[in-house]
Amino acid sequence: MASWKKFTAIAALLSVVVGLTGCGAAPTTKIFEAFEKASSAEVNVTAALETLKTLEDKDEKQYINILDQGKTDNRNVQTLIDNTNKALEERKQAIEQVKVHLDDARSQMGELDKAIAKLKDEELKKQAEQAYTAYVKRYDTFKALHEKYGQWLEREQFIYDELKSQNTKLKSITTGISERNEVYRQVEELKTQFNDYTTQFNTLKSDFYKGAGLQVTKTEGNQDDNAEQQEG
Amino acid sequence: MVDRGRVTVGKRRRRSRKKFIGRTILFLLFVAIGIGIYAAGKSLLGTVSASGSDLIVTEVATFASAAKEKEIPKEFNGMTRKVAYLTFDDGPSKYSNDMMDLLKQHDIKATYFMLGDNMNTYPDAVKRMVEEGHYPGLHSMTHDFNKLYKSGGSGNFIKEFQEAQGIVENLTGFKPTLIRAPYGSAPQIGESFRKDIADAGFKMWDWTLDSLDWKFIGQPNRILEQIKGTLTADVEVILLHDRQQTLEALPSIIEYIQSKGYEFEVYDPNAHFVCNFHHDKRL
Ligand SMILES: [Zn+2]
Repeated sequence: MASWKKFTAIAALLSVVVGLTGCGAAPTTKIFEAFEKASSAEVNVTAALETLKTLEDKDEKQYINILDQGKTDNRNVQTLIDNTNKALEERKQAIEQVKVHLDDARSQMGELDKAIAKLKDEELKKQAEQAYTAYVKRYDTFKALHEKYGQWLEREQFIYDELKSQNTKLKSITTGISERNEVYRQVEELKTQFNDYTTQFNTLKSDFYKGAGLQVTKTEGNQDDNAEQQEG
Repeated sequence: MVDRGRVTVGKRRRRSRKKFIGRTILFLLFVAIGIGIYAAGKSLLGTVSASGSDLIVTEVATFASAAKEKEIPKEFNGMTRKVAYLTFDDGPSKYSNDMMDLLKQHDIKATYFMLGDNMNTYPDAVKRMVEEGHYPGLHSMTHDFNKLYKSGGSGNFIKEFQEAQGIVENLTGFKPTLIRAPYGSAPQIGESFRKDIADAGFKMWDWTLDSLDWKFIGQPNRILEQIKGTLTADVEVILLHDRQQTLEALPSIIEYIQSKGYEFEVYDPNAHFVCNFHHDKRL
């Protein structure tokens, strides 16, 4: 008789335990994991972005050199222009790298609307929603930025082809530069937008974690470890 | 636990066996409760670690910018490009349409610096200007020296240009940023005044060649003579006005400038260059 009672008690407890663990993680966990999986999938983006910056800076300096040394004769700057073209190719690769990582990060994030809708606390739901929206907008902005960046590189290529050509005309160089500057400005605007959404996402997800009572330590994106593996 | 069980074997076998089962079940219960509490905490709050150490989160990265606007070369591969900018102040006026007809005939795009009131009087001229590729620059609302420069700050000046900018934008959908200060930027516009203009998002052009057309009423030839005597630089920004004598002199002015090897250009925000008396790079 007594063993029956015990058995019933165990069964009841087991069902509680199973209820808490077995039937899928709570929305907070799911959202946290999605946010951090996506964020840590971006760790290698930092390096690609740094490469882009270095190459943009290099192009800036090379261009001034080309104009200066090619003033009287552009045969003086053929090698310089070839080097600059190589740097354009590297830039193309770097921006593609960024795209690969951000695409991957986006798919790691998944669709969170359902998980967010399950949050009971209204304030927490709002925080999660805002963070998720900022992330999605950031990704969409990147898609536009990636396309514009490609156009930018094409315009750069056009200018260097013109500067290299033996039959170059100042008029077509001028037109090429004007068109390049226009696309460059659009890219800069998109970069600003992207960066705004980045700040928003970083801040909003941090607010969300705080609201959910999670104790967190931030990294600058140089940690390769998934947040889950960091549990003590 | 199992060892302790073994020690008790032999003495009051049945009872101890019962005890053993009971203890084992209790132990399992505690373990289960422990797991349950841990799992409940985890699933409700995220991943709260038993030892209290923090979760690591990663911040996502931003883009840096190292590129700049590319400058347009005046010389390259032994070539020098001579460029003339025809700029017309104080319009639009009743002469604007005839002037634009003339410019169209010569396939020339010009840069206008217009006054707010005149834009309200001749809105169709402003629209045509933008449609035909001229630049609709700004020249304040009132052209009033005291109002613009004698109030002790840049407030009135900026406000007038913003208002004029709004008029062009309403009429054409294009928001011009290039302005020309009435009476030029020197000496009345000082250092901090210029900073305010730049901070308001404007660029400011003066000119490199003054045709003095405004004072040669009825003497279009004098305007041409003035230009002939002063056209020297590879890039010339030529000050003209939207007036009758200027319209009359325009065909001969165009012909002369072209004969000197110049090409005509219109202001292009994507190919902006500094052209103010102060050589202020912010503008
Ligand atoms: Zn004026």
